[in-house]
Amino acid sequence: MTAVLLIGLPVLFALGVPIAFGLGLATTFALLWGGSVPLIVVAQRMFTSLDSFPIMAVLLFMLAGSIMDEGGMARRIIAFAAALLGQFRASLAMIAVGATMLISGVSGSGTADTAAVGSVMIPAMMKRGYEPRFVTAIQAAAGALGPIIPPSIIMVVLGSVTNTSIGQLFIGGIIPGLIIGGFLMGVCYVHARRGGAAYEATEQFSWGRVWTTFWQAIPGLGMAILILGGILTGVFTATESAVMGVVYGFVVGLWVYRELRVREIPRMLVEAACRSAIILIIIGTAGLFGWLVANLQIPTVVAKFLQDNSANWIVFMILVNALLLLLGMFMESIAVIIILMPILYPVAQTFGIDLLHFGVVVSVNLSIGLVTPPYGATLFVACSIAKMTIRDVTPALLPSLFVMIIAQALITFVPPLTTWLPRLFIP
Amino acid sequence: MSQALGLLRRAIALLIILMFAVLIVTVFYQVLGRYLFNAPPSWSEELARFLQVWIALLASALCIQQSMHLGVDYLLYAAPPRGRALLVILVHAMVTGFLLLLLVQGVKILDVAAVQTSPAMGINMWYAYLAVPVGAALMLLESLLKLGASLRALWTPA
Repeated sequence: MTAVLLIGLPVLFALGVPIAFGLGLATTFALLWGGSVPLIVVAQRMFTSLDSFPIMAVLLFMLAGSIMDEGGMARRIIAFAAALLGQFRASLAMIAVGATMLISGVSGSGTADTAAVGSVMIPAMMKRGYEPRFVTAIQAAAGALGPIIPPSIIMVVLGSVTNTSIGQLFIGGIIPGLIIGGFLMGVCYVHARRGGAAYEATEQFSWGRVWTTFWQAIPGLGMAILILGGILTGVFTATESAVMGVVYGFVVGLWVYRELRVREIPRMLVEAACRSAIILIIIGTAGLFGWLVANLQIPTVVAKFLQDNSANWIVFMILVNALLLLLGMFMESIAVIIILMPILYPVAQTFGIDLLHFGVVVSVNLSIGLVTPPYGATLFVACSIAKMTIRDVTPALLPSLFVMIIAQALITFVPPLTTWLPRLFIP
Repeated sequence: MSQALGLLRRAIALLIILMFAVLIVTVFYQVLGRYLFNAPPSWSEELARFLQVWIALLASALCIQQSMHLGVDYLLYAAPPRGRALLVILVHAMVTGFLLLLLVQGVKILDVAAVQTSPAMGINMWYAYLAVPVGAALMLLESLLKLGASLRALWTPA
């Protein structure tokens, strides 16, 4: 049974069967092979995996992301970031990274953030004469911050499939997000030193301008404060904070900024439902897969194999990071979480690794997977806005990927970076 | 035929909109109930969860129509045109097979569900579980259409 499952899955994926149905098929084949479990569990597990309140945050954060974009919040947050960062060399690239960080506080999706900021900043940077490959690469890389800085759809899925606190994971992403954001701004700075006149600062710093743009962005930033504040203080669960963000976003978009129209809302609901359904249906068929993996005691076998080969937690973490970076290059990050976490979590536990630390490390790693070619979700979005091909952009991505991997190593081997803040707020 | 399909898809979208709207209002009401009125409603979370099951399965049918479901398509691009056409047929056939199984088992599970009552709202679980066979049937329909299209593509010379 184990062999059917573990050989069947990669074969089905390689053939091009969509992840959700490949998981369902491989598990069904394994069940048929074993012959002892009635197939009705396929339908039953589909229902019980979707019948979950924490998972609902996926649906709601998808919607919150599109409200933020279409409701006029994204534009004003970018203007505020511009007022703060316009004084530096390579200012437009700094603004792109900074604005993505701020907007990541509202949306949990890297692609939504890349689209919201990229659609404004990529054309602006190109017009100013920045190197197009660099422009596309830095915006794609900044998109990884979307699911690192809370809220995060990747962390919602991770928390749900492993039964760990989503709130703690969210807060654990704050410091790694700030580190990576800072590193990416460093990449902008270094690139600009060689770049020539195009990269000179766009404007002088003025407190007046910071104040006006801040004032205009307050309703939009309020959405981030409501979501983050609710989670940090423990007032809301992730799902509840998401619904507050949605309701607040509608109110601001419809009556404060007046950029949303009521007749647009049904379309936004269907779009958010479809983008979520892609993830939810994988969760639905993966519930069965995870159940079978646990039943076949695959984690125990993996843990025993590693321990017999005298691996310690450091070796294990290096192996996991390498494996996830590799898979992140070729597969959708959320699918990797859903398939591998039922196996890796119990193994991490046997090595005595703090599961909160492990969860954040995995989430950050797979967020970097959104950027890595050839399959990178934020890379696709940035390339399509910039009308460039992934092949062209890839060399320009290397500095950003390099610093992100350094950051990844840092948070992997310095656990307090991920665990100190969450335990401070949610003991 | 295509008119009926269009109508069906619009009906699905309408259902998603209604259910999503009710879900948002319900969860929002739950938060308000807890903090403002100090009386969390007992039924809200359960209703929202059941709506989520429905939304996910209905929207998934629309995703099949728009080929939105995530897969790994490297082999597909590497294959020569004829091989690619055959591979696409194979993939659609396997997805269709799985959905057929889900439909059959989803219908079977309704009998089990019909004798259960939901703990919070006290409704028959049949209404909640109905999402599985209905969703599977709609996905199956869209998948069969894709399979038909890929077969036709094989017969018409490129």
